[in-house]
Amino acid sequence: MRETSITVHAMRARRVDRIATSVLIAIAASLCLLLGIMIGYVLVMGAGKMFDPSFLFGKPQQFKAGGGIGPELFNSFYLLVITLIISVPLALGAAIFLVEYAPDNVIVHVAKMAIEVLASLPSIVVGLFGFLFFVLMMGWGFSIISGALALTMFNVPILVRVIQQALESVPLDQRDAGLALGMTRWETTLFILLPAAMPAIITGIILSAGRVFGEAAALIYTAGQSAPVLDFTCFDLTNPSCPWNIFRPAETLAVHIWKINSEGVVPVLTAISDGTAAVLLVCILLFNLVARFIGRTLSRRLSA
Amino acid sequence: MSKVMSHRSLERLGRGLTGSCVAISFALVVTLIVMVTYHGLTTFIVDGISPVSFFCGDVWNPHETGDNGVPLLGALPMIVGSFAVTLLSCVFALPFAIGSAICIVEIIPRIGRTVIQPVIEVFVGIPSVVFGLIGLMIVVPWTAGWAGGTGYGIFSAAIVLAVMILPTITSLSVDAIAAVPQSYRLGSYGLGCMRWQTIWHVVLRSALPGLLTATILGMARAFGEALAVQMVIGNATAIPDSLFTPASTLTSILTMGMGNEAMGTIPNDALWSLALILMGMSLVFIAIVHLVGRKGANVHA
Amino acid sequence: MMNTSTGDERIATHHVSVYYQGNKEALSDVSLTFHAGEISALIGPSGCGKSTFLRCLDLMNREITGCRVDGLIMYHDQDINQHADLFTTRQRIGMVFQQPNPFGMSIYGNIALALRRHGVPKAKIKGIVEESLRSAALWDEVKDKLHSHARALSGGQQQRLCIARTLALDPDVILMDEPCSALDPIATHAIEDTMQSLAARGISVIVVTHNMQQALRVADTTAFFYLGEMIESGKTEQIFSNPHDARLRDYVEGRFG
Repeated sequence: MRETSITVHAMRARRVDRIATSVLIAIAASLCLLLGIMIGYVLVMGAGKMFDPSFLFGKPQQFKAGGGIGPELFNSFYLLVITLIISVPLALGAAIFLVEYAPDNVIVHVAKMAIEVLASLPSIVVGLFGFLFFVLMMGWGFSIISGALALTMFNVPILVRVIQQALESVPLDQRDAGLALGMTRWETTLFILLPAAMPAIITGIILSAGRVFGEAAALIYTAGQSAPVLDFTCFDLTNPSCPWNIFRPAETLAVHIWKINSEGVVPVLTAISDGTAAVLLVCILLFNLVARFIGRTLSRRLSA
Repeated sequence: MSKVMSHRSLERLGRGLTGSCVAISFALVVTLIVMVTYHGLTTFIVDGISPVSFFCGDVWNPHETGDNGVPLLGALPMIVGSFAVTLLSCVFALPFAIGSAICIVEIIPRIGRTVIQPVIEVFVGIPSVVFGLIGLMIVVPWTAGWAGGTGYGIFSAAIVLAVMILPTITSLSVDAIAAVPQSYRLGSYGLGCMRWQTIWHVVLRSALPGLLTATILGMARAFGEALAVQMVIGNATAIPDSLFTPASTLTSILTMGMGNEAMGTIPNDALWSLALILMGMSLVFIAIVHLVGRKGANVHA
Repeated sequence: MMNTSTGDERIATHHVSVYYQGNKEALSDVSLTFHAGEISALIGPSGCGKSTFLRCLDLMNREITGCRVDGLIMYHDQDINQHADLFTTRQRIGMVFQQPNPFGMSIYGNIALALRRHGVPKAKIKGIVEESLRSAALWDEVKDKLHSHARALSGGQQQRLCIARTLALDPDVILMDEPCSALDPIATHAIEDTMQSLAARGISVIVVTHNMQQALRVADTTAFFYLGEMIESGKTEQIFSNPHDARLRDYVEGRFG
């Protein structure tokens, strides 16, 4: 009697196990399918535009059909570069301080917490602060520099965390060896720890670049929603049509997608926004691939 | 002796240089919090809007005044909208996210950890406007097709947000489940438990704090998302009578409004109050994550 | 060590105590003297404070937050615990760690890095690299591949590279924290030979070891640590053949370890 009940119990457990397994596999499969279809949809819908040079490098049109995303494409990369130029040194310095120098006191704890808070603020809030502080109070207007600073606020906490983890994962005995040779912490960090942590840091920077590249909410009120016509022969840094002028407004790809969809005044809107989205997505995927590739190559070279 | 000095000053230089980076970041955060708080409170302190009517009023019409001569600033529709899309998107996303995470770690670890997990991490970085666009192209027409109406509304927004936070929650849940010590599983198998019993009674239980953290971080992301929501929710500033009629969230009204209202006017101040609510909520989310983290640490210790 | 007087005094501690965070005493009132040209072994069961003591001599405990070192550490008639310049002192007192820890760069770079940082002229560096590799008995094995990656060397070679790295700064004290515990017997033998040749050059070698055979083979003097105290010190033969303290006797006889 008892034995049969155990057998029944075991059989039921086995059946439940089998059902649970298949349900879980089905869930994971549908997740993959969903994400796959999404990427596929964006790429397929945008494929026609993606390989069209007049779209990729052409000027946008306001009320006419056609028009390209040349300035937006340039702006996205230029803004990214400016953002990285500001945020990488800042994050590197902050992370080094927190790992190497930070005394164990209240001020440091509060500072750490502040950086964490920054990481979790909605990007629209960061964008609005940028609008208030950089655009209005500093008087920089809707400009690349305002946008880059807003993106820096968005990017620094991500980078600080990545760099901190990278530095902390360097074995302790490397630091001890440097210090025991009479080097300062600064030299030990610069010449021993940073090179050892470099693969992880570079990977982290490129991945964060992908996030920055696709960010829109922090930009609509800082870098602005207009893309002045760019004249690549102009090197007068005060001229609004000079591409390198950091005080000109600069709409990026991500902002462009949002704007043409919420304004809806551009004919063949869907074709353009699909094309833009596909270009944006391809760039993001490239960032990811490059990050993985570089990370792997560098760490292989280091451990050779 | 000069060598000695150079070492010492070098160390001081390094400390100063890196310390000022922390100081700059810290100062930026403090400025942000102070300025948003200051502008957010102006509505109540300077403009004399009562907080009760702000949080409980259901009419948002900053350019018109009500019977008492005060602008109609009831933020309840947006607050309700924000919470509704956040909770609903979580309800949609959670079964998929946690189910997939279990599957990746426990059932098909070889493909899961080497192929699916990296792919999902790539999805974490996909820009939210792309999700908004897909919502606009697919979700809104599809919803309109079977539910009637325009298709814009809380339901569509929740679907879009659910898809957007799926990779985030999944990837964090994978980490949480993978962090459960292997010895727990072996112990359970040693007692003759089946895989599902082990997962349900042992793995999920000890991964619970981590799963909770993953969920809250996902919620925080959904709550703060602006553009993807703004594109599909319809942006009607009234409390909707169904999930399928246009509604609005804090973020969507902020996105739309800030460009139209001049600084220093009451409608603009009111927008800053919405931003303040948004900021306050994200602080609450962090606090919860910390609390859960501490509890979790206690459980494992 | 105490009560022995071969050679001149190189480094000595007087009543050194170490406290970790929360005032936990890790080492209590240790007074020891080390002489030039001697190899001294610090022995004792794990957790007895011998490594903590060793790290005091190189001022490495200063890198641990909340760690406090009391007492005098006399080096060239100066109390380095209070008044030393951290960076110069650490150049003169070298340290070799338990796990070989070469930097992730070339063999040459491992030795040249600290030299460059300390402002040694470029023209001199090459000569110093060769000389220190010779002193560490590694030159013949690596002279043709100075620019290949240091981690491609065997464990024993890596450890000798770490010794060469400290020798390049011309120290007169070398501290070794269980330098052979990660190595096989042949590599261990090579390191022990290196220790003896260093002592012959007048360097004071202080080695922490859990291996009593090693202490017997190489050390002129030995000190026994137990539960944060230095129990007994003296000539190595005397420590092992005629221990006074019961705990040392038990340890030597292998009753605990």
